[in-house]
Amino acid sequence: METILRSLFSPVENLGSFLFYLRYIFTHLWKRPFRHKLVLQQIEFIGNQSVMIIILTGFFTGAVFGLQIGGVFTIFQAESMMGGATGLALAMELGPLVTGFLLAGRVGSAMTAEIATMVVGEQVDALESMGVDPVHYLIVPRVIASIIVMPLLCGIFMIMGTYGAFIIGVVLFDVDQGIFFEKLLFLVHPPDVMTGLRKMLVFSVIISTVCCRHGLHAGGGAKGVGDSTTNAVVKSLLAILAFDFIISFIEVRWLR
Amino acid sequence: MIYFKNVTKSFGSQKVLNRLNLHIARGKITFIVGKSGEGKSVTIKHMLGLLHPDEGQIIVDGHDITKFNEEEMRVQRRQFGMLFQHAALFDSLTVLENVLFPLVEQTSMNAQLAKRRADEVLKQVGLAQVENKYPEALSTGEKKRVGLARALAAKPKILLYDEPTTGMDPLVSEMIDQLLVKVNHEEKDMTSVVISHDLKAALATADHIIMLYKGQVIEEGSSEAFRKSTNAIVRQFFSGKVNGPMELV
Repeated sequence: METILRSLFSPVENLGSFLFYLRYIFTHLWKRPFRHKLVLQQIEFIGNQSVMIIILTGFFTGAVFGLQIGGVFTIFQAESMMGGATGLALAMELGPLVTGFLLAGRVGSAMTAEIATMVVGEQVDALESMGVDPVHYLIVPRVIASIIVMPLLCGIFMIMGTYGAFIIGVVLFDVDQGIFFEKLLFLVHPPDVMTGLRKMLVFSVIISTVCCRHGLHAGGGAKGVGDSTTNAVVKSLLAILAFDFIISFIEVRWLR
Repeated sequence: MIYFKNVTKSFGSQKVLNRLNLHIARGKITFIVGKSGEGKSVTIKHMLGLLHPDEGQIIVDGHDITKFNEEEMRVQRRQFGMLFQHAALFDSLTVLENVLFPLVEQTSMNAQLAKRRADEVLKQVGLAQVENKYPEALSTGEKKRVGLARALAAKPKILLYDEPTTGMDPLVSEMIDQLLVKVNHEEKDMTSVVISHDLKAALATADHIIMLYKGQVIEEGSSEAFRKSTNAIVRQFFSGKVNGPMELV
């Protein structure tokens, strides 16, 4: 009976403790000392070291999307709409979603593994023994850096995706360059781009907080580090999909 | 200096500390010995406030730390330095940055003074030449010594050692033991608490030895008193024999 009750209440308990953890992080974002150096290191790690993969993935995603959509639009002789359709898909959905997935895999997993290794190697205990709050030292700089950098990477993804679609449109479907951009600007407006960036802002909080928390609660040994990393990435991806739906639902039902 | 009064701590159904009473004297080297699983590490984690007792009081320097909130406990922990079993150096930082870490976090020292203090403690542990290396490039013994330098850097009142010689070869163990005595002698009024099951080291270096068994103090006293102890469990622990009154599981 106790086991059944525990399994029923466990997700609620986990959600509750996660909300307390989120509250703790956000109340400590402005708490001294400000760890500028750690934030800059994380900005370099998340931003500079991810930018190439974002550029390449963005370009190819846009190119493939352009290729598929161009084939369909050709049937209706509407190839000129390629730019607008691709731009809209990238701005509102593909940009934040694919960037979120990529960063959860590349950055989130590294955050979990690094913090989990510190836990296993007693480095987090060492921090605590010196009177340093591990959340403030390890997690807050990562969350700040994620909030700053991840939406920027999403913006780069959108631009590169549009460029990929542009190349495909112009080279394979003979779309006039001017028409491509005219339709793009006709269909995609700043609020659409803001929708995507807002989503990415939420995803950046999800990736950094979920992955860091899993690292901090890692079990012992190499298996503990591996399990935490896998769980962190899987949960981040599921949370990204769930929140993508929730944000899209709110936008479609109430904000348009 | 440090008093445990009827401290009880359980993990699930396992009672690790059972109404434990002990006293650590100021300025002395106290060894807490006992076989694995007797609550030695749990005891020092309670001193640091990393674990909270189910019952009882822990008095450090006249303050009952069981009543402290997390913020007060963080300030309290600055009185302590700790040498971890595997040194627990931050592997993303160089040796010098590791030693500077408590100075930057716990004191308002300017960079020049902090560097001077870091150089001083690295010299004290005989490792002035490795300050730009990363922990991965150090031997186990060197890591321990850097860990000790880091623990000493902010001049703690109480230095905790968690199994300082476990897994070391006899020469390095001997060197760490000598360093422990040297440091305690050089740092005025510093209290050293050593968790160990290395009885040889305890007898050679301790001012006071406390032996834990089943979550309680079964014997305490000077090295000499321990050598002459007639307690059958202490005798068995000394002899290292499997057969005897001590429950091994």
